[in-house]
Amino acid sequence: MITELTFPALSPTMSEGTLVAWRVKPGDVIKAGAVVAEIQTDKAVVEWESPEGGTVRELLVAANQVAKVNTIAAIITSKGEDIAATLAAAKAKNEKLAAGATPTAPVATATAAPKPAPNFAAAPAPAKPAPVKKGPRVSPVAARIAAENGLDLTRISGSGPDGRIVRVDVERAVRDGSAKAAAGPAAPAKPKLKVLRADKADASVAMSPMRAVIASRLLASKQQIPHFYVEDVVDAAALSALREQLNLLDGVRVTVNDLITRACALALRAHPRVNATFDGKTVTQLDSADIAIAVALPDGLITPIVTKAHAKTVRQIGDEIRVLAKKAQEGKLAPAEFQGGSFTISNLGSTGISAFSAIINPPQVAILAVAAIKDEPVVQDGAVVAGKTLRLTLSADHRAVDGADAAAFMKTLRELLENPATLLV
Amino acid sequence: MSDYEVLVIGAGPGGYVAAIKAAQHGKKTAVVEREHLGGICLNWGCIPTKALLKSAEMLESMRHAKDFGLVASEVKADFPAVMKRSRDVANGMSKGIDFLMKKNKITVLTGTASFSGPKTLTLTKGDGSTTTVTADNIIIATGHKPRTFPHLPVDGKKVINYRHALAMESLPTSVLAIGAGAIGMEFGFFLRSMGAAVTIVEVMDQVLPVEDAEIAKFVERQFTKQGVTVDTATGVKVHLEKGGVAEVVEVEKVLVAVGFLANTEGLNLDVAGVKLDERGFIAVDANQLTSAPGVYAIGDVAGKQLLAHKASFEGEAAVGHIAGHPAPVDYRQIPGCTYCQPQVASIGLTEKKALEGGRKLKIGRFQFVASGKAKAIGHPEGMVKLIFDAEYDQLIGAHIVGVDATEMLGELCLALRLECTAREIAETVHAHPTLAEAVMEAAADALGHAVHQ
Repeated sequence: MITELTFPALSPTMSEGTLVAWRVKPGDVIKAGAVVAEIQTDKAVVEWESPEGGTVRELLVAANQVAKVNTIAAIITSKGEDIAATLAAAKAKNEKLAAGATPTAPVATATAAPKPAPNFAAAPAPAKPAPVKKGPRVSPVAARIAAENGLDLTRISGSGPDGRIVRVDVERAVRDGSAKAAAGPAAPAKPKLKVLRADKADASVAMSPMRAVIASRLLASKQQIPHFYVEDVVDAAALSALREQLNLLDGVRVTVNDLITRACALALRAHPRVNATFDGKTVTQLDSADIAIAVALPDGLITPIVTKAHAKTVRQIGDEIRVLAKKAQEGKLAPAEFQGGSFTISNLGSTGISAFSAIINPPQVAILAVAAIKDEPVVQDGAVVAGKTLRLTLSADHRAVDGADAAAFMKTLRELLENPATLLV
Repeated sequence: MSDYEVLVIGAGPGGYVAAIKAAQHGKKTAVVEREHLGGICLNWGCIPTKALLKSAEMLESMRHAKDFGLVASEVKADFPAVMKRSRDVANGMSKGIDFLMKKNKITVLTGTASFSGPKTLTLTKGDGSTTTVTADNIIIATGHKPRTFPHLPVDGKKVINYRHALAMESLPTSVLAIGAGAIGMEFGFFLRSMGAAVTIVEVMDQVLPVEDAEIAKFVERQFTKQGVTVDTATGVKVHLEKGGVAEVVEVEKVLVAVGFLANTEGLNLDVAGVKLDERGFIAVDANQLTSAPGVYAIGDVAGKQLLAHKASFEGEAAVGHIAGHPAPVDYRQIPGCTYCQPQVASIGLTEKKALEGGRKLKIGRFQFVASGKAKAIGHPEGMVKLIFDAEYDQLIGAHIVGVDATEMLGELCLALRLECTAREIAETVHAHPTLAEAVMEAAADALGHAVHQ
């Protein structure tokens, strides 16, 4: 008997999952009930058991691929039957299903259009061409929710019978903010400005130990270091798009700051004069890009450090920053985690600010101020078009760094950020 | 190599459907039954009671012959003949299952099953002989047995359960039914129309406690009109043990209909590693899998609602999981029906449940008194109540009371499954004159524009 293992729905809400790893390989002889793979569902990693025993002949979904429920993932035979025809039909089916893949899973080469398991499909379904569909199949309430929320139903994958779009599918899209129709409804209501309040007495606030340190160090920095500033505007369209694409991966959260940190690490290694410390006598050019990230606290700030940022991936950098920021908020940073560093990034982008400049954190010789990505007109091929811009301001210590050094660093940084695929290798 | 790929214990509406589905998947399948194919449903439940209730309905109609311009005299029930018809209907159905088993090449093993290993069962036949069978997958579908009160042992004569009630040889003059669930209400209606004095007591504050309160109140009023004494929010102990303190009810028979226990006795579930939940039913996951690999439980023995169609769908879910096509049962979509007159049929949430969590509702109602068809057929007592979420008008609960309510529910089961809103129901053309028009009108009422009320 030839058995096709179709990607199972392991929870009532599951429409697709990641095949984390195969536990079998072609040629393995397995018993019915043997675990063949691990599958990441929308809830957990679950072991997938084969309903049939036999010899594993073909694996059609690669490890770490996202697959829709019902994709044919493997072929098993009980008596070494010829599987050429079955294999071809299975590949054709998977390909056809993949062609119907939705933009929510761009990495899934084996993604299949959702199709529920036929109830009695021990044999492969006949290879009848799917009828050309004029529009998505959708339940009445799902259609209404989609209309009221300005969702494009063609961009939603359905989890109901034969891919029918049902309420949970559109509600997920509403939550995600995905599948917005081109001319969507008005943006969500603006939050109220909370500025009006009753008068109260003047307050004298004693300086906390942290504030005292900040006061003395930054006063010394601003008084003693000849700051100069180099500002640049980066076309951030590609950067924003890349971030969105990366975040399509389930379990991945990449921020603009993670990408900028990675870009700085690469640029610093290319411009050793900026990646340096200065004690008033000697400039020490550092090999490693140990990047301090300014983290705002209720009464001050602290700069935990991503060490060897040049040797880490965007994802590693991001994960590390979030761990450090959490520790910083909880006051649990070890001294080694915030002392030292070869360069600092101060990012106020989350406030929507257009541009600012920062005070150098000595003995470092430079600090980068990162503003928000803005929707602004940009010039492309001589025409003004809608674009996305990001203003970066480098503050540098003129005793150690010259204007040309700072500008060269900023040029490299801009080129990296405008070609953000460079940050992924 | 096991004897079978799928072995089902119990051939009720859960077990025999599971066996047929497994066979259709190409599995080598057997079913073990200790008594009758078809289980309680066909032999001692759904089907024979419906036969009795039809007799009661016809008797009621004949009594009202004059209302329809007809002359009938000496209208009365031949009670033994009514009971015999019910048995004949049940026996005929049971033979039909036998045919289905043969057609699907399912082996029927007669005997009582008991686990002697994780995937091994010992079958004890009526003559005491035993055999051992093994299976890759085992589906437990052994059903329920009626719950009893420890201080009120069922003797089959004075104190009876539904099974004894189905085998009564003569009509008792008076009956006290303890419990106003489907069984208490159906037998209450049947025995009342046959001529017995019927009292129904219920500890909860409404009859049919799982149904919508408004609908339950409606049924209770109709029962009272029929001459049934209904006492809700009434403890049984007061009546039976402290009769001097409260009202004393003297009856010929007491029908105990107070719920169910799982039929797990003698299965030796420990040996298989199958665990029970806190209420004594077999604990299962969404795919009906128990705590033991390859062992499934479906139907009454797995708890939740004790309904034949729920058992059948759980059987399909278990077989689907075995065959690698899991399709868990969506319990929001299990209808429930009670076949007394007026009938009660519902699916989805009651008004009370729907309001939990602060949800806003749109509720549409339509009374049968405004339905031409209901009047023409002489049954103007009834109503349709539809519950929609106010945000998107999606149907989330449907409740019907009245003649043929159970047959009217079908379109609403479909509407719920398809996630219909009030508009689709209100804008669907319903044939005139039908009772089903009341469904359309109730939906229109929820939207604020019913035509006929």
